[in-house]
Order: sequence, then C-alpha cells, then structure tokens
Amino acid sequence: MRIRLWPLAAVVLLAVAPLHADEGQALKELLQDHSLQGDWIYDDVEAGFLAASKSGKPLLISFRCVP
Amino acid sequence: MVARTDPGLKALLEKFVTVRCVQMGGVDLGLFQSDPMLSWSVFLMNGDKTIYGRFGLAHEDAKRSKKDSNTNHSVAGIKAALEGALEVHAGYTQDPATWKPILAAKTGAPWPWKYAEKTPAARKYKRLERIKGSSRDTKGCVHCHEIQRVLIDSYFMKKKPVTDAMLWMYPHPEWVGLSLHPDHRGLVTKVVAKSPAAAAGLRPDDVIETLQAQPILSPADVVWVLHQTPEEGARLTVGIRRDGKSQSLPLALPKDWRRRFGDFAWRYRIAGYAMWLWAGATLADDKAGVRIASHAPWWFKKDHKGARKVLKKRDVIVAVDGKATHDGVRPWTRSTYLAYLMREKKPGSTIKLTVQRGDKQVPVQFKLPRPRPEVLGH
Repeated sequence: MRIRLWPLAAVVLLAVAPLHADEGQALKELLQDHSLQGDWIYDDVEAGFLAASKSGKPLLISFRCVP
Repeated sequence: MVARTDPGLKALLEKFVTVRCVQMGGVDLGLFQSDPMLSWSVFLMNGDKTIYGRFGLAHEDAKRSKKDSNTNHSVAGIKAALEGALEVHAGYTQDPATWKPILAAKTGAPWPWKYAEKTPAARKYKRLERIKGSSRDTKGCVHCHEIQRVLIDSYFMKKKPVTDAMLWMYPHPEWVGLSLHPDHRGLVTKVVAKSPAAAAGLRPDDVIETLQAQPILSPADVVWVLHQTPEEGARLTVGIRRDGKSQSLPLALPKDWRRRFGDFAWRYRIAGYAMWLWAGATLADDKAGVRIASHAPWWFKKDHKGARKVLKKRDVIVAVDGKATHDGVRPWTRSTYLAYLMREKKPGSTIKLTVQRGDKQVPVQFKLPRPRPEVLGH
C-alpha cells in the first residue's frame, strides 16, 4: 500500500513554523534583549544570508555566548 | 549593551541585516573562523557568504589582568569597521569581478569537520550543553571559545599533525612590533624598534588600509592576514596612508616568526590539553629558559603527584629528553615547551628533564598523567 506523506509533512511544517519563532523569542527573553536596537535574527546564520541577499544589505553576524 | 545605547551605532546598524548567534552548534566552522579566545566576535559579510572583515581582538593581557577580552574593543572601533564594511559592500556589489578574488582570502581553508558537534573530540566528550530557547539548539551547544580546543583535540585523536599555525594562532599585531588603535580600522600608534614592522618602515600615525591587498576594517583583519601567513616566513605587502598619500611597504617575516615573537601559553583553552602533559606545574618564561613558577593547582594535585615530588619552584628547565632547551641564540619559551609535549609525548609516558636548581643541574623524571575526559572536554 502506498502511503501519501505530503499532507502529513505539510501539517508538521505548519506546526513547527510558529515554534521556531517562539524559540527565537524565548532566546531573546533569556538574553534580556528587549531594548536591543533594530531587528535581529537569532541564532540562524542561514536566515541572515537569505535576508541579506533579498534586501541587498550587508550582513553583520555577532557571536557572543550566553553570559 | 553598546547596540542598545549608542545612537550613532543604531543608524549604522540599520544599514545591515543583523544576526546574533549565541553558540557554534550547526555553524560552518570553515566559514566562521576567528580567534576562539574572543568573548565577542563579529563578521561583516555579503549575503553570498563573502567575508568583508572581522571585528574582535584578543590579547594575552586580558587574561593576565583577568579582564574581559572586550577591553580591546570600542564603540568607535565597531563604528569604523561598519563604515568600512559599507564601503567594501558598495565596491563589491558594483564590481564583483575585481573584488571577489581580493575578498576570497578573507575565508580560510575548511576544517576536516564542518560542524563542531561532528568532530571526534566533541562526540567523545559528550559535554555538549543545551541552551534554553535557542532555535538552532537541536543537539546541544558548543561554546564559541571551545572551537579551537575541540579541533586541536580532534587532530590529536585522529593523529593528524598539529601545525605551528594551529598553536601559535591568531598572531597579535604586537608580535611583529605593531600597536594599533582600537578606535580605528588600522591606525598605527606604536612601532617597536628592531621589529619586523620597524624594518618595513612603518611609523606611528600611519594608517594601514590594506594588507596583502585585503581591505583592513579593524585590527582583527590584520590578525587574520598574519594568521594565514606560513611559519616558513613571508614578505607581506602593507598598503598604508601617510600624510594623505598612499604607499606600499614590504613587511618581511622571518622563518619561525611565530615561535620567535609569539606565545600561546596564555591561551588556556588550548593549553588546557597540554596542562595535563606539561610537567604538572605552572610555567613562566625566564631569560634562562622555562621556569617552574608553581605547582599545578590543587584540583590537579592527584594527577600530578609525580611532578610534585621531583620539581621545585624556581627550577629552570635546561634540557628535555636529553635535548638542550637553548639553541645558542634564545631559550625555549613556555609555548615551545608545550608544543614539544603536545607533539612528542603521550599521556602516561615518562619525561626526563634536567633542571637548573640554584647552582646545580639536577636530572629529574616522572610520568605524565593521563587526562581525565571530563576535564579535557570542558
């Protein structure tokens, strides 16, 4: 029997997408970055490359451990 | 904190896409190569992964004085680097054919392992921690400052040769006699007499604009070029601006320049491995050679009982395994000694030293301890 997996994959992706955002928000809370100026992408360099390519802006990537 | 308060910096940051990473898990180690002693490191890049420059300068004084390595950074310095990155970005986007080969040298050669969590050392230590709330944290956290240690330990485990460049890594400009102002991209503040920088003709108030044709956005970019320079020596081209005019100067680095001018013993995250091998003592550089400054800290007491029995404070090591530690011109340094131990000795093997104790030369020997994995992996 052939099982169609794509509907299941779509459901999983839809469920995971907000989780990713929530996790980024949780990290922002953990770092107490409430007053950080500008929009920062958290812990996702690939998302940074994508955003820079789309916008034509240069990219600043900061590496700093959680204190 | 800087990004939260400085209005000038805010205006500059708005011209960038900004990413904040808190761990190295899942990060391409080949692409993001910088000094692992930094507690804060910045890459200025294009969306196509071309590196424009780095920001962040580690200094051994930061460790000695127990200050954070951020003491070498300033708001003015990051602003200058960002302005420089905008200039390079404009040039690169308008004329990629010219800029691409120049900027290619800003990216290092890839490591045998792309991700830290895939290295043999990280897999063995199983010391990866989780950071709550990190979206990329699926397998655990590898701290930025652990990277070089994990890589070097992995080389040992796989019996790959550990080069001088891996140990005497990220040479500070002071190794070649240069002091650079932290508020500027490449402003020379001091040149040490009889140093390679002095021989090149560099002077205070010169502005280093390029090194090996690479644009200099901050002192970290000078460090990067030096880091890539082979131990066999090289003749680097320094592009400077002096009295409003641009000119080129040749910076000649002699053979063994890292060993002659540099030190990695202060880099405790690398030397940590060697600490388990290095004679069970804290070492100091002395005019006569490597001196035993004190015994290993109490938490290593059990591991180093052999060394504690035979070594005394103020002993100076004059021979190791029958080899003199003075080549007639200069004595071994702590770094030379550590490099010897790391490469030539194995945990559990016996080391034979001759030490100068007062006016006597005393032969001593002891077994090197076997490292405890839980400490190695930390």
